[in-house]
Amino acid sequence: MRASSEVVDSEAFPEPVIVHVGGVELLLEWAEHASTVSNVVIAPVELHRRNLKLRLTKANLPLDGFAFTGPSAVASHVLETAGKPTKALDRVDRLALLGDILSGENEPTECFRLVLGKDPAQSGNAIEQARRELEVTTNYHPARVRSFRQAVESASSPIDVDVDDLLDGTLAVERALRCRSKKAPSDGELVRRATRTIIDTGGAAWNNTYPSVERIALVGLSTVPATLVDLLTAVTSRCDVEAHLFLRGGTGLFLEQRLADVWGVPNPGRVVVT
Amino acid sequence: MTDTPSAIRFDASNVDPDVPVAEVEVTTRYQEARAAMAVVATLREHGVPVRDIVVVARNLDGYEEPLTRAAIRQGVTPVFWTQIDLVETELYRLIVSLCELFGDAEPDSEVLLRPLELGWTPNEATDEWPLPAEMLAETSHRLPGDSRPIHAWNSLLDEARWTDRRVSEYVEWVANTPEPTPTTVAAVLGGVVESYRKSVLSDRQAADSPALLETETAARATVRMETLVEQVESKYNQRLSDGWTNESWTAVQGMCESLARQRPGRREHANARALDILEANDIWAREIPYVVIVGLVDGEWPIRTESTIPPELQHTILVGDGPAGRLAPRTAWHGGRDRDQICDTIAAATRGIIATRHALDVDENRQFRSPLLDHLDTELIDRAARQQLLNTDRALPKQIEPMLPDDGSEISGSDLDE
Repeated sequence: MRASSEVVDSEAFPEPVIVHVGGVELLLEWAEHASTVSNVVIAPVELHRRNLKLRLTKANLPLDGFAFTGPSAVASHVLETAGKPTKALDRVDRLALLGDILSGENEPTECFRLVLGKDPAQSGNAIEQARRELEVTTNYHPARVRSFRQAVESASSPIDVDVDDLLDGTLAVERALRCRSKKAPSDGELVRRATRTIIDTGGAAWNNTYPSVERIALVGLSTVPATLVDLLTAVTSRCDVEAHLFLRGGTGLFLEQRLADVWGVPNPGRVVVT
Repeated sequence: MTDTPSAIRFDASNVDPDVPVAEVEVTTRYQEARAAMAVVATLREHGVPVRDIVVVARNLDGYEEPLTRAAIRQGVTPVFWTQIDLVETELYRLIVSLCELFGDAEPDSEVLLRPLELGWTPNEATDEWPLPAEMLAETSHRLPGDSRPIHAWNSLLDEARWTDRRVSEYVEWVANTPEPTPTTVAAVLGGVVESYRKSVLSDRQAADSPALLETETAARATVRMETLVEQVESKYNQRLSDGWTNESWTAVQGMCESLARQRPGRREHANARALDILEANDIWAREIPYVVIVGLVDGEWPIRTESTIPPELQHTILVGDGPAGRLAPRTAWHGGRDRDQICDTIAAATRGIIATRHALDVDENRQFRSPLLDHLDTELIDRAARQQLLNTDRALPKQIEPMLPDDGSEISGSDLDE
């Protein structure tokens, strides 16, 4: 058993990205009495933040140097500091809008009718799932969407045609959501906006938001979405900040190998739909 | 497509605890819950503090009820850290959107129609309810963009020839909403929850997938909202009599929001003597002496992951050769999330693990041992020891005894709030 976290040899990762598999001991060692936050810990699962605080408290370690947060909160914080809008639709809002969009005759309705074989207006959940899976996989980045289409091309028929419809439908839905609401269509879109803002300001947007932060950690995930890979890429490429991935025991070694190629798209945060 | 190529085999060596593992097999889920709670009660009789024990399930939906019953029988107070987030449910949104509308002297059309979007249904529904999306879109399109008092909306819709009867009916209902006293608030909001239960839930059930996941969530939300309405009524009553608030729908909305954000079972104070019952995804990074794992049955843990991406393409993305390398793989496609959750659950235990499973489902179909147990070296608790555990004068099975500290003085290794 991996009793302690170990630093994996991550040659293939860009330099300031460090991968740990299994434990969180190293993260606990970052604790120090401080008047400023030096570690931003992104834990998408809310209870994981509580668990880390419990571990620190139990070990009599100070919590001061940490900001425990979630991906969309980080994105909102960056956007707010840059004076940009921070509102996003959540799942309930989005499902209501999706029902509305998909009850008309338009591109997304057409695509999804073909691939789902039933009335898209009644399939909000399936469409929401497709939207989420494609966002996790590609972050809608042009290079990854291109790679996705290439991967689809090599699939057997009719999978290739179906998945192409799924992708086109999802991209059309994203476009439609953007037109219908002043809010960002999803938390993922907030993260992309923050990512672009960090790149466009040469890192200033991040540095102004988290001036004293030395490390950004992403913890407790079984899947590292491209959305967060791109956010971390923006931060580490434009700011003097180390990124740490604390991966879990079952998938950690696999992801450590597999994620290296996912890293480092040009212009992270750019999207194929505008 | 090759079966489980090594490139996407998740590491099994991590599923190797450095504490003893006892395995209990019983016939039904109810017996399993009883066995799990008997283990908890027996450990406590041996001096283990309740905060040093945790019960973990992959998914609490099927276990909340049997575990609650079993816990009561054993005199244990359970706290369920369930995942349902009321704030994210349609019914909660509906209630809040109504409070917002009632509290707005001059709502615009968006505020006016929002409850319909979220599935508002009259108490005696005769037509097709909730209002279909096309009808809603058309109404929204035709209404003027400005704000006006509700009675003005009411007469505008009455006079317009294009108005759907259902929309007028709804606006009339809004216009007739009484002033917010605690009793009327409970009646109005309770009525909305009731109508939602009657109409939306049965609709949902008809349209849902066989797993009925959406229905399950909607049903749980309904139960939680009924409780919330009761809580709002009593809190509102108290605040009014204490002079902390005036009668207003905005105040009611604020109370709904703050009550909904409290997770059920959240500890009121740190020393509350209650047993934590968690879902496996939430145990990551915890350290607790005794971990009781329930539901180690194939199909329940691991569970098949739903996806819109065809398996062949999932495989290509997981392997990541060529252009697919750039794409972020979702490990749940290949059981990665289940694997992580069992690893984290096992890693959390610092003294011992008791793993339970049931052999038959409610229809008496055979339930198989979870393959996640295959890599574990477990000590099966034999029939006699199991019987004794479940008896009234229960005894700790000899497979669990070695997990107790030698000198009997339990040193708390728990990381819970002190």
